[in-house]
This record gives sequence, C-alpha cells and structure tokens, in this order.
Amino acid sequence: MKVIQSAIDTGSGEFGANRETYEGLVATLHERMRWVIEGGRDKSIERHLARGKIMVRDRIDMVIDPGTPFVELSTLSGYGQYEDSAPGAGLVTGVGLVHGVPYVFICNDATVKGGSLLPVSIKKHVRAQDIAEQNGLGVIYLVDSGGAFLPLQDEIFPDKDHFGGSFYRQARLSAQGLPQLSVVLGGCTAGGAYVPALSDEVIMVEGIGRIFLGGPPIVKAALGEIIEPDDLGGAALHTHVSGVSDYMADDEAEAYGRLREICETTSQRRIDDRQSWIDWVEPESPLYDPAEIYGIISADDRVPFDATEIIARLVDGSRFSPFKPEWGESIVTGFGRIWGHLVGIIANNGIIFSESALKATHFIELCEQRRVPLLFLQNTSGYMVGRDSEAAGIAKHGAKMVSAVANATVPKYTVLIGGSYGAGNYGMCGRGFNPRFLFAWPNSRIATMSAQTAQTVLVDIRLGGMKGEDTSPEQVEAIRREVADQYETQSDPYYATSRLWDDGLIDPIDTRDTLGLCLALAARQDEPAPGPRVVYRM
Amino acid sequence: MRILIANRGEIARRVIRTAHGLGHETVAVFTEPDAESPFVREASRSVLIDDGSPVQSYLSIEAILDAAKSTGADAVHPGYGFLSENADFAEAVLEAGLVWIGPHPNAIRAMGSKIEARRIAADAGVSTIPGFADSQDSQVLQEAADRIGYPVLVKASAGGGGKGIRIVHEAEAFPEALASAKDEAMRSFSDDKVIVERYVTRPRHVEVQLIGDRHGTVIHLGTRECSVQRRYQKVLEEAPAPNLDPATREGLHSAAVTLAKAIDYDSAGTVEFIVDDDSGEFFFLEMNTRLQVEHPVTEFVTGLDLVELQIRSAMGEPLAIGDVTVSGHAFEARVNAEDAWAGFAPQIGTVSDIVVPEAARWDSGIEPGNEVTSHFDPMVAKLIVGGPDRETARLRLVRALDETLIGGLVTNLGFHRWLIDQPPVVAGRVTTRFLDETDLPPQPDERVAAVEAAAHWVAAQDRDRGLSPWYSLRQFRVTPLVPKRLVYLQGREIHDIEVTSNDPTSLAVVDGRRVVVGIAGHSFTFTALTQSERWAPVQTGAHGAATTVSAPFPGVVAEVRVDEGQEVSAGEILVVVEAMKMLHPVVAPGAGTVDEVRVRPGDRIAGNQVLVTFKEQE
Repeated sequence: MKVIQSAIDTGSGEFGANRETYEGLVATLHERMRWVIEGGRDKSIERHLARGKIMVRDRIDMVIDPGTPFVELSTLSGYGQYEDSAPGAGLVTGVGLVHGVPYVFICNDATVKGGSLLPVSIKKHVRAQDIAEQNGLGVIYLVDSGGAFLPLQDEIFPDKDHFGGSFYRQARLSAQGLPQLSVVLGGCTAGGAYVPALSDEVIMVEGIGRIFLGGPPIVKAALGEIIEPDDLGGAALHTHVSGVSDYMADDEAEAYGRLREICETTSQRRIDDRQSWIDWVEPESPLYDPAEIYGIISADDRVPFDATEIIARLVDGSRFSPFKPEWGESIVTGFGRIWGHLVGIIANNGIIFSESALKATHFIELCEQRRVPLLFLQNTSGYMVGRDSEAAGIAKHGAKMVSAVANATVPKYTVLIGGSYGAGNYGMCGRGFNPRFLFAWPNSRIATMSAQTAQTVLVDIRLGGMKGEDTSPEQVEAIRREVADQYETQSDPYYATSRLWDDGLIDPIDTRDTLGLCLALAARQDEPAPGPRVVYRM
Repeated sequence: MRILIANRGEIARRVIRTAHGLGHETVAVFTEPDAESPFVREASRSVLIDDGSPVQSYLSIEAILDAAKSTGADAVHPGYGFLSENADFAEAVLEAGLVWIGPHPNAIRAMGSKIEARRIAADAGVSTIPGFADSQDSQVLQEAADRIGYPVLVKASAGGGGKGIRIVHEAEAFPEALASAKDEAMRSFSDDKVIVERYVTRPRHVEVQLIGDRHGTVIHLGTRECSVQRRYQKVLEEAPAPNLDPATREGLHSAAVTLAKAIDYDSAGTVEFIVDDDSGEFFFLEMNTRLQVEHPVTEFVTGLDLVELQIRSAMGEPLAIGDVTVSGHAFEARVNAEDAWAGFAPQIGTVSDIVVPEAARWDSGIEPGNEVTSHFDPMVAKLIVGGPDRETARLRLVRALDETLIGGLVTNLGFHRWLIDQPPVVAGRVTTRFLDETDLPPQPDERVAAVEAAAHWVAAQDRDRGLSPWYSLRQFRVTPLVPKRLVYLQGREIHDIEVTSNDPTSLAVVDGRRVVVGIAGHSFTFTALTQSERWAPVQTGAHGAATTVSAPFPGVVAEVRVDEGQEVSAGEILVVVEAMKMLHPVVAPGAGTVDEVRVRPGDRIAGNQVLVTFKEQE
C-alpha cells in the first residue's frame, strides 16, 4: 500500500480558518459532554455522594482494568429532550475490559431522575444489548434505577423494543453464553427487579441495593403492610434467604472486587485473542496528524472536502490502496489498515452517481468475499437526480448498493463525517443497515435532504397546495423560514445523537482510535458465516 | 599473595577487584548480617567472624588475626573506618608476620591524635589553624581563645564525626561551650581533651592525596574538594578542588608532601586542609593514614589505581608511576541509605533493584536481594562520574543520578540530584557550612511517582500483551474528562489522580507487580495490585454478622452447648439438632456474645426457627 500524498497546505489561511471553526465545534461537543457527565444537577449529585455512593463513571473505572480504554456510547443521548433534564438519558453504556475481556456496560446514573428510565434510556439500553450480541460481548449491569419513568410509561413499557425487549434480549444473550452480570447499587423495583433476576450472577451491596417486585408503597397499598425497604428486598434478605442475589458486599468497592473475580471465571475470549480470519499486521500511526482533519473540513458546509485527505489521517501509515480510482470518482473505495486491521473503506466525495454506486457495490462484494470489514465514511448529498441520471438508471444502481450493504456479513462500521442525506444514508450503511457501530462528527448533518433543498422543495409543495389563496411574499417567506428551521433543527448532529440515531458524536481526532477499538472487538470473534458469493462486475 | 580484607561492603569489593586483578587471592571476613553480601561471594575465601555485635567483630583485632591465620593470609588490607587507623592493629598484623597494607604504625599513631598531628605539622612548617592545645585548664583555654580572637572553635582532641565541637562567638559564651564540648568528648571518646582554634567563616575542605613507598618517596596526586558536608560528614566530593589560585594549590601540595615526609610516610594517605575561601589561606586540619572513601575521584583524574599502589608499596616495591598529571574532573556522590526528608534518618530494607548507567563508576556493597541493616554505616555505594572539565562532569552526574534507581530502599540519591544543581555547587564555591545552612526543597510528590509507576506498569503490561489498541491506548475515552486513574499501591492508596499524559517520562523497573520509578533521583518502590485484590473482601463468608441463628431444618434439639451471656467464636457449636436420625451441629456464624437461648434439649423445632440470638455488635 502506498502512502497518500496529501495536497493539504496546513499553512494556508483557509486551513487555519477551517481549523478555528472546527475547534469551536469540538469545544461545544466537549462542553456538552461535560454537562452530561456532571452538569445541571448539583443537588442530586451532592445527595448521591452524601449517601456514600460513587459517580457512575467512577464506578466503571473501578471495574475495568486499570489504565485501559472505555468506549462510552451515545453520551449525549437525551440531549435537548425532556426539557434538558436528562443528561445522558440517565444511563451510561459502553465497552470496557475486565481481566482482558471486553464487556458491554449498562449502568444507571442515579443522579439523573433517580436513575429512572426514559424512552430514550430504554432505546440506549436496548442498543447496548444489541451491540453486545453483534460483537459477542457479555454485559455488566450496574443497577441503580428507580425503574420506568412512569409519566411516560406509554413510551417505555409496551412496544417491541421497550422494557420487555430489553429482558427478551437479556435472556437470549445469556443463552448465547454471553455472561450477564449485575451489581445492585440501588433500587430495582418492579420491572427493574428483572435486570438482576435475569442475570447469571448477582451481587448486592448492603444498605443501598434493593430488589422487589413491589416497593413498600405498593405493598402498603395492596396489603396494608408497612415494611422497611431492606426487610422487603435488601441485600441480606436476597443473599441469605431468597437467593435472588448470589453475593453480598459491604460496599461498592468490595462489590467491584467480587465482580472482577467473577469475570475471571467466565471463560470468554480475551481482547488480544485475535482470530485467524482477520487480516492484521503490526499497527503504525498515520503519517499525517489526525488533528489536521479540523483544517480540512470546510467551515462552509457547501464547500466540499476530499475524502482521501480524511482517509490519510485515519489509516495506519497513511497508506491506502484505492480500488478503481479512475472510475466513479465521487466515491473513494480502497483498502487501508486501522490499528493493524485491514478494512475496506468506502467514502463519499459528494453526490453518488450511477458509476460511483456500481463501484461501491463491486467493492462491497469484493470485501465480502475476502472477509474484510467495511468502513463507510459518509459525506453525501445523496444519489444524483435529474433526467440524465434517471435515464441512466440511478434508481436500480443505487438499489444494488443498498442490497449489497444490507447483505454484507462482514463487520460494518459507519462514521458520518459530513452530510448524510437521502438514500445516500442507506447505501452508505446508515443506522437501518445495522453497522456494528455508527459514530458521527460534530459537523455532520443527517436528513432526507439538506435544509436548502428542503426550502425549495417544500415551499413549492406548500404553495402548490394553496392554489388561489393569498401567497404574499411575507407568507412565502414565513413558510420558507418554517421549513428551514425544521430542517436545520432536525439535521443537527445533537438532535440525531440525542435520539440514538448514532452511537455517539466523536471528535475526529478520536475516530481512528475508536474504530481501532471497535475492530478489535470483531477480531476476537469467529468469522461471520458468509453466503456463497461471486464478485459481479458492474 | 593472599590478602585478608578487614572490612566489608563496597570497600571490600573495591580491594578485591584490584587484588584479583594483580593476581592475588583475597579473604573476606564477614558477620551474619552480611552473609549474602557480594563481597563475601567475590572474595577467594570468606570467614565468618563473630565477636559480639557485627560492628564489634570488625573492631576485634583478635578475631581478624585469627581469621588471617586460619585462612593462611599473607597480608591485611584494612580499608577505611573500623581498624584502618588503629596503630595497635597495624603493629599486631606486622607482629603476626603479615604484610600490612598501610603506613607504618608510627605514622598512624603520630597522626592519630589531633594535638600531636598539629605539633608535627607546626614543626614541619605547615601552617595550622591558629589554636591552642597546651593545656586543659579552663582559664588558660579562655585566655588562649581571647588571644586567637573570636569566633573560635572548641573541639575534642580525639574527635571525629562532629562530636565534641562547639563554635564560640564571644568570650562570655566560652565557659559554657567548653564545658559542654568536654562533656560530649568524654561521652564519645572517653577523653575530654579539647583544643581551641580559630573559626574560619568561609571554610572549604580541601585535601591532598599522597602516595609514598618504603623507599622514602612521597608524591602528591592532586587535590580533592570535600566541602559539601552534612554535620562534618562528607556527602559529595570532587577532584581536583576547583577555584584555587595556582599558588594556593601549589602550597597545599607541598605542605602535604612536607608533612608526610616528616613522618616517613610510606603508603596512601590524605592530608586535609581548611581553605579560607575569602583569603586563600589554608590550614592543616588532619591527616588520614589510610585509603579515603573518596579516592575514586583521584583515580579518575590521575588514571591510577590507589589500591594497587598501596599493595605495591606494602610489598616494598618502589613507586614507579612517573610524572603524575591531573586531567579532567570527577565527582563522587556518596549513596547512603537514609531519608534526607526525614532528618536523614538511616533506612533499612531489602534492595529489590539496582539500575546504574553504564557510563558511571558504581562502587557498591549491595546487590538486589541484599538486606541493608542498621548494624553498619548507612553508606551503601558511591556513584562516580567524570569528564574533561568540571561542568561536563557535573552534568554527567546529573544525568547519572537521573538514570540511577535503587528499589526497595530509600537512599539519598534524590538529595544528591537536588544538591548537584545548587548554585554554590554549580559554581564550585561551597563552604563546609553550606548544607547545614540550606533548607531542602519539598520532597517530590509521591503521587506523581505513583502515577508514573502505574503508567510504567500499564506500559509493561502492554508490552506483554501485544499491540491491541485496547492496551496501547491506555485510558482512552471519547468523553473530554480525563478519566481518574485509580491506582492502588500497597501501603499507599492513591485515588483520584488526573493523568495528563499517557506516556511515562520517568525511569523505571517493572518486575511483575513491583515497580520502581525514579523521579529526580528519587526512587519510589510500589507494588501494583490488581483491582480484584484491592477490592477483595478481607474474609469471605464474613458477611451477615447475623444476630440470630436459626434451625437449618425441622428436628429435635439434642443438645444446647451455650448459655446466655457466653462469648463464642466463629464456628463454635451452639446447638445440636437431631433430624433424620443424624446429629447436626448448628454453629456460630461469627464471634459474638449469646444474648438469648430460645430452645432447650428435647424441644421440637421447626425449620428456620430461631434457636439462639446474639447481642448486637458495635
């Protein structure tokens, strides 16, 4: 593989201006993440700490191997929703190592609405379990939850991927031999009781951990019985009498020691147990500094940037072997390595034309046959429209790409590095196509179409429906404004990440490392079963 | 020749090295605490000596001569300290028909008493510090002090090591100072004779190395500066002494040679002087009739082996070293097992690791695995570094200190690292009072060392684990807050440390769980604990210090073994229950006091029925 020759002039004024703009975006990202971690709830944090309880991310640090990464997912879930009262949706999820074995962590943040689960929290919980299944990971539940957030029970309880779905997944994950381990650090009432109850092993912390189907208020209402919470469902009761819990710990610290001890006996593959189907060589850093991405991404999102320049700052040694580089050039395809793992990269340079769609399809088939994981870098305004394009059959060519992506069995990863518009989102392995992980950059936009396009299209449609009525310029402007606002708001990456359309916004600088960590998860798994497949020339 | 070394530690090894190089055999004498020390192993033979305490054994002429006899030794090298300046010992060695690797006993004796030494020096025309030693009468001493002029020094004639010394700034304070100096002298040396002399306000300690033979030749090997002293103990030495004008340097050389010739000196020895840094005047202080601790710096600048010259002289060979030129510059840092930040308290411990830069000379008595005890002097090694000029040598010492690690034992290496950068040391203008008048900076933050240690430990794990980003990226997070690295170190629990860098910058040894990390010369030894260990309950099954004990199943009480108020220990049988024709003991779940016994023999009991209750524990 040859080193990419970058054409970027890092000394140029444009580069500097872009960088300055992007640093602002990253500053905002970090500021908002900080708010999620410890903002806007001083009183409840104070109460939590006063009870001798530990902050959720510190709990995770106590469990994972010291000095190892933790890939936190969807940190900004719930951002801007629920009147900004639910930092992180009251849940922290992510992947970390315990005794060298990667586990998914699902941990309540009791400083957010007492750890109650909001609709987005359920989505986050279920998403983490899906990640566990797809990546073959056990799950550690640090349970400290007041249960479902009852005022929104209709959005939490009944549907397929609601509360029930999470228990369905938990039971089935356990059946697949993926350890389900719980530490009970707070209330687990009603449905919440099933998280530990469905676990393979359960630890309860005395004095704070409680499990009951009906808490003291319900018992009082139903039976007229007045009972102390610990007598009804404390650690001693469940460890010594009911057997709902397997271990009791005096404090959190002891519980995490016990948990780590349990993890020594789960017979899971370690993270460095790389399987032979993965093409891996010793990693090397990119030749070009990933921080230069800040200066490459145009401050004005209508000015395109070259995906190859981004690839140069993500892959090992900045080496890249492009596939079919002189055909269908609006999609860059080729092989590179990320943290040693060979990946097939598909990246947009704007609009997808028929040729680009065919090239991408061809390349997906190639990677599928060679068992090479796929990395999609989305920055597209969508498939080309217009008479020529339609006549060339863009619909069927785009469909080939969508079909190929949908049926690829190799691990797929997607990063939104710019626009993710229209059907381009599908062909480039959007959320609906089950990439193992989907991350987005803070400059990304996701919508059926851009706000500019939407204004034209929707204003015309609206005006078309108002035949004969008063269409003063003021009214046209009002409609235009309304549409623009809607699209701008809804295509904002924070709007997206708040709703779990991705697994988190990440700093471009962290992208290579994050992907490397994710790829390493796949590398310890058995080869996904492929179907018989020929490489069709398109 | 078979040379018995009447010493231990680094100097024993030093002598062994040269003796073996010359084709001689060696005999080590050792005491129990040193059984595992390298000098015992490295000597051709070794003999355990035991005459009471370990120190006492090395001071026992009889024990050492017995050892020489039993091993068929031909010669004795006394090293420094212990019996090295004991004329009786030298005589006894000679009388036993052995070669004494040192000066003739009369020279030792002549220089052994400060008063006698000063008299000989004065007779030989070597300037001595204005002083008085002719009487011990308080009144006469006071008059002498008044005549010399204040400030004066009152010090024990038989002294050494800073004992029995008083500085007197005015006549009125003299009587009391005299009394206390005499008192201390009596306690320390069983001899309360004192001398009075002028007190030099900017004194430097400069000494001249000499070597003589049995044929009347005595030559000097240049100067050494030993002004960096703490309570009269040398800490850092260098050769040659810097910042001396040529006349002073020449004067020192010839005074030393003159004095040595006056006593027919015939071995390696050192004449010590006080140099007044203001005037350049110098005064004879004392002569050490033996090899000095700091001899290696002279060896560096002359290219000679002083132990070899000692041996050759003792064997009667004439000095054959031609013209000696001093070139370059060398420093020696005395490495002591002491905690400079705890009042220089001597430290003991088992040395786990030693890392020394190859470029440095490391004269050491210890190896990993050795235990440093409190029986002997705290000096365990010497770090010697030289260069073409003083500043180069100094910078090399800085680097050597940065690259030296001793695990398992607190040493003064960190103190040296601070010292070597002090302006008077950099300038070469240290007075003997410098250290006593200078405060140490705060000790480096141990938490920083802990983080570094953890980083090294993690890095070492990475090396073992290959190249997965899950290890290489260490505490990577997508969130902006730097994760708190939870580091748990035995005996030192460290929480909530924010790590700003992934990359350890310090020097370290990682061996399994042990991490020795060096920061600014300080070596910190840590034991890394896995989190399971850190968090593990002290005792499994210790939970549920239940206050009640219930029947495991239905049955009949066969026996009750405890009474109310009785104290029981964990596992003690409380009640025996008969069920299914078997007797089942019901035991106490933990230690406690029985509050209530609720059953009697013969009672029919239900499953889970409470049998015994305990008093609530504190």
